[in-house]
Amino acid sequence: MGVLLLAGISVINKKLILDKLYAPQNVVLSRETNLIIIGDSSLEYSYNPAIIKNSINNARPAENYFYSYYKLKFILEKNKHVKTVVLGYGYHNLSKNRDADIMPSKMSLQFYNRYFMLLDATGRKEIQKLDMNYLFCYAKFCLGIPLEFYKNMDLIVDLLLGKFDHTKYPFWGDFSKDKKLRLNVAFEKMLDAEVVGSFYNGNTIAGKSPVMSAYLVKIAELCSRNNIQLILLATPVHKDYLSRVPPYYMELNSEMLVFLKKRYPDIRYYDYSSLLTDDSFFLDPGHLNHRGADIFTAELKLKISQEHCCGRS
Amino acid sequence: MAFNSVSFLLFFPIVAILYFGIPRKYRWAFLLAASYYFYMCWKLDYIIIMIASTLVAYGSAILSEKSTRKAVKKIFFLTSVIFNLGLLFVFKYFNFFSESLQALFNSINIVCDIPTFSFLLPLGISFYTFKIISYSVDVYRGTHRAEKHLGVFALYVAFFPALGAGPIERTGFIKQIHNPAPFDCQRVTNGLLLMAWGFFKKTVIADRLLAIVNDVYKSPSELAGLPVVIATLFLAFQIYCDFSGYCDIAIGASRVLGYRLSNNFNRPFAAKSVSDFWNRWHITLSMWIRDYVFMPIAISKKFKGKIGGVIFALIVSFSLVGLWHGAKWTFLFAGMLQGLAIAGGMLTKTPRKKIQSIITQRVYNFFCLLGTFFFMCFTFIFVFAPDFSAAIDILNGIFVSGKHKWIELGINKNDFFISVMLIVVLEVVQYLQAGKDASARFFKQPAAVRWAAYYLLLLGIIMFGVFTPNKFMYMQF
Repeated sequence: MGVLLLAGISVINKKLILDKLYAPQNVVLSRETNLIIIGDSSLEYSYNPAIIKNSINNARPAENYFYSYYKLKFILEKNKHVKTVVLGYGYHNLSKNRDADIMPSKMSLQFYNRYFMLLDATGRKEIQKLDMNYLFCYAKFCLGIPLEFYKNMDLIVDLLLGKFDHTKYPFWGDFSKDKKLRLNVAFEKMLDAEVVGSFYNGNTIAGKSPVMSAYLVKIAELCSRNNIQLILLATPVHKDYLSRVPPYYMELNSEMLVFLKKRYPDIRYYDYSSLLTDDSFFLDPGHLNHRGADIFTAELKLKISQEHCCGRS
Repeated sequence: MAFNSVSFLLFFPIVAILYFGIPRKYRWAFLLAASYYFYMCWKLDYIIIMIASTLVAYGSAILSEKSTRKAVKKIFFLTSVIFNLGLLFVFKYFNFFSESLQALFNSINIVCDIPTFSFLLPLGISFYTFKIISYSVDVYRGTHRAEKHLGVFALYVAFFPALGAGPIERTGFIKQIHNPAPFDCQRVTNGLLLMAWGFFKKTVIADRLLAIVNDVYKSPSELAGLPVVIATLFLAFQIYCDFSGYCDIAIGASRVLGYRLSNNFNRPFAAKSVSDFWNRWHITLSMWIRDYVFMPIAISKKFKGKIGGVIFALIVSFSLVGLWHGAKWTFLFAGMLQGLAIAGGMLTKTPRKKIQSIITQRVYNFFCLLGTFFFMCFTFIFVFAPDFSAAIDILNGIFVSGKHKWIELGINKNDFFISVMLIVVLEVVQYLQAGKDASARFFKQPAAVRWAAYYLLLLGIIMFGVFTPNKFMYMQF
């Protein structure tokens, strides 16, 4: 009896709520929006969309290429007018450590809760391991079991009232305008943590992530198919951080770039990693504060307009 | 293995089913193995500490009981107490004392380097050490016989439902291990219902409130005013639901297996004074402290129950309660505040009686209830804050007027309303539970009503539970 009841509720939840809630037609950007910024916190903190007209910053903390691909695919489905996608391309983006967020771990639930609804069978297979967090999200999003149903209540109310706000999606990003200047607080400790977290596995180089490389190619392919200009962007990082990036990752990025350019000649690459040198522009070794973000975005605007790559921007 | 983990949801039914399939005289062995497994899932090698504690307490009690000379009895008794308190001190308090001493020496310009350890605090050590000490004292005093069966005694120490965060059982529990109860369907249902209610309190109420409290408390100066006040009020319910949720699961799980654990809570926020509060909150710890710390001091030859002695005993006892919760000055301070408040209550009995005669009893009770609740909220800040400066930041945040638009509160509007609704549900359920024979009355209801209640509870957990696993707060003490 209980099982039947739960099954009934799950079917209703899946068909009448989830399928309607997480449908691409809910994300219709204004016709003027022609530039989308996508990536992780390095872009989230550095790109101020108020400076470049008709652009949105959709970067989310720790978002890797795997999740970016599915997010972009979802957004582009009903927004064919987007002309340019700017994707973060720092030295850390192809590191094996980026796989951690699609592997069973303490943190994986946080990422699954954010992106699981976007994944297709191939994407789910990529992360499918014997993992409780995976099973939990599979039950929630694919079987419709109303686990943590309350998290959808905001969206459901909006949908019923006909004023759906896609920016409330858990995967939706935004510019994070941090007003604090925290650089001096335990800088060395932060630098160590950031360098180790990005590039090392214990004392050895973490290596290359085949999954991230594959999904970067998939993003390039998606953009190419939709006649979208893809710009790979290395955002400014602190000079001390840059000096500690292992040469292995610099070579890896260059090799990948050569490969991509060969396959998709229209791809552009802007390297601003050493644009800002003054401490006062940084929040931490890998992220800009709001001052740094404004300067960097203005610089990017100039570059984009010089290269006439995105129409009215 | 935490109660709110998937592994426990698999572990417990397996243990319960196998348990009733085993002949009664061997059940202790199975439960002991399950309890040790439960403990080893947390940290394999720390089981040695628990086994060592068990063996020392077991041996000392038997030797203490056997010896006829009082001095020898005392030596064995002290061996057990010192060994177990010593372990507790090394793992829980050593760093606190060495860091405090280091700070003291530094402040008076004495150069020295006091070592610190980086041990992980053994799970439940504060709880099982108190169990062992009460056993040792009871045997020494002669109020209980020393347990001859090592396995039964080991299970008394390691009984898994009460291992992580209590309740702190006393020596009388050993009798239950000797006489395991047969399978009883209604008792099992009752236990499962209580477990579900515990999960509801933890995942639906406590963890939801924790997210709000954490959001506000991480930057109290930025979200000053109303949000900090709301977070502080929520904190009281968060701590309560977290801990009482744990206890409900523990008591429910024990009930399924046929054991009765002591009640640890009795609607604490209905308390009309601080002393009343401690008769309703973490009752097994309060009673333990009363019997083994407060009473021996208060009625000692030195004080003979005089008011000064009682006040001294109160402050010592509650300072210990504070320190028991954690090796931090904030805990000690929060504990001392409790002692002082109870002492203040004793000293102001006469003027309060005068006030009582002026206003009606209901109004008086209402203000007492409110005053006690706000006082406890105030002291919870020191329990939750990592240090004094953070606690003071929060207190400052309360008294500074801040932004008041929902969007700027740092609290999600839906979460806020759900939380308030849940607190109302909690209080209503507790009110019903507090009635005489509440459980019997519930089971007399028609099946449709009972099943509706079960489904509502389970659906509530599924739909409104926060499934980002948060540790039970008291498992860290």
